[in-house]
Amino acid sequence: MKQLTLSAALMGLVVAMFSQQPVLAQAVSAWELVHPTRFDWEIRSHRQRIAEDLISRVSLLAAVVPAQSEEQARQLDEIAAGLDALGENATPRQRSKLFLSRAFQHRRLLDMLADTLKALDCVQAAGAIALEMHCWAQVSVLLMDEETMDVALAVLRSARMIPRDEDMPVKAQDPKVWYGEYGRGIVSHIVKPFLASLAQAPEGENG
Amino acid sequence: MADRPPGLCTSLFIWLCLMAPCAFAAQTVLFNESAAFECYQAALHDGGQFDIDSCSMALEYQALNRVDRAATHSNRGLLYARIGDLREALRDHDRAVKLAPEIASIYINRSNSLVRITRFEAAMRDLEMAIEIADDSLAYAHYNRALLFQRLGDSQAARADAEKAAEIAPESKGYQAFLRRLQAPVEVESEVESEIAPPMGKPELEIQPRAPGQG
Repeated sequence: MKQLTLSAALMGLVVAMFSQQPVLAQAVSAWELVHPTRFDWEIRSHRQRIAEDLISRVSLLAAVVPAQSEEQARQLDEIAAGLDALGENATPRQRSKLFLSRAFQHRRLLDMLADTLKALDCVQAAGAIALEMHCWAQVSVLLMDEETMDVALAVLRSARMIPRDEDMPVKAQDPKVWYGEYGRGIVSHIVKPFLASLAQAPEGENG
Repeated sequence: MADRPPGLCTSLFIWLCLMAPCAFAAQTVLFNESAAFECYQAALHDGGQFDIDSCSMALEYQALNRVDRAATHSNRGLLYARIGDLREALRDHDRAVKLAPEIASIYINRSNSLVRITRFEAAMRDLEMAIEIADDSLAYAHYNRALLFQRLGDSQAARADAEKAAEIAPESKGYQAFLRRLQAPVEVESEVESEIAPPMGKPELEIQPRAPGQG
């Protein structure tokens, strides 16, 4: 009986040890932002793993968007400069011609993807948590701008410059989860808990 | 403003936001129990799949004048769009435009469906046409074009259109709120201590069901 009690105690210890073991960062993916199971925002390696995974997902999308040629970029700049020169005198039709153009939406998407990757690099490079959270906030704002991404993708798709939805890289676009979900997940599961922890911390500890 | 045949210009317009909490001012509604009127009511309120039959009945059996027929096609188009059948919606909107190309609201309704299938150029053309016609739906045309410009990334043109909509219909709180929202980043920089505007829902394109029987 004594031996049995001991075994039960040992068993309890083993269970306790396993339950307290931190989840390996490798097991954490960006999907945790949508359906959190193991993700702990306070563990830096978890956050870093998510940033890494997001970089790979955004890069997969970026890989199917062709680069803009120098000639296209130059033409676009010229039209934009022309509109700027006209200022208030530019007609809505003149403006819509530019903003509806493939070249403009193409650049808009490229800029957005580049900015997102830059913000994710910022997450990875940040030393202090406050700075890292600032970078996360930037990532979330960019990812939640679904309108920009959807419009730009629609324009490029109609020009057959990118694959159709079903032919997009699977990891770049999890079926039924678009990038905006990751953006909202960052706010809900990283930025908000961080801010809540600041609000709870005794005065003087936040600086 | 394009000429309309005599007797048709009294047809009633009712404005509202699609799926938005703000219901824009509804004008006088004349009593009418026709299928076309039911179709209009369905488009005006939250009608859907089952109400499409009323529209179809009206189009098939009711003696409608040209404008009311166009309005009923447009209203059925709104119902089709509401249930996600954008192909049928566009078919109806196209018929409506063919029947009454002088009515701006018909272009506005078609442009909403065109935006949903990401045919932005065609949507922009329809809104330009609605603005050119410049009938009593002018404010709505400007508001919807402002939303489209915003989507396309042209905040300057969006602001110009939103200003026009707010100028034409100063009583519309929705337009004022949308305009404030577009101006918000500038205000934040220039007037840091200004009062924070109350949170606003995402603005939605407006639809324009049209009542038959008054023309």
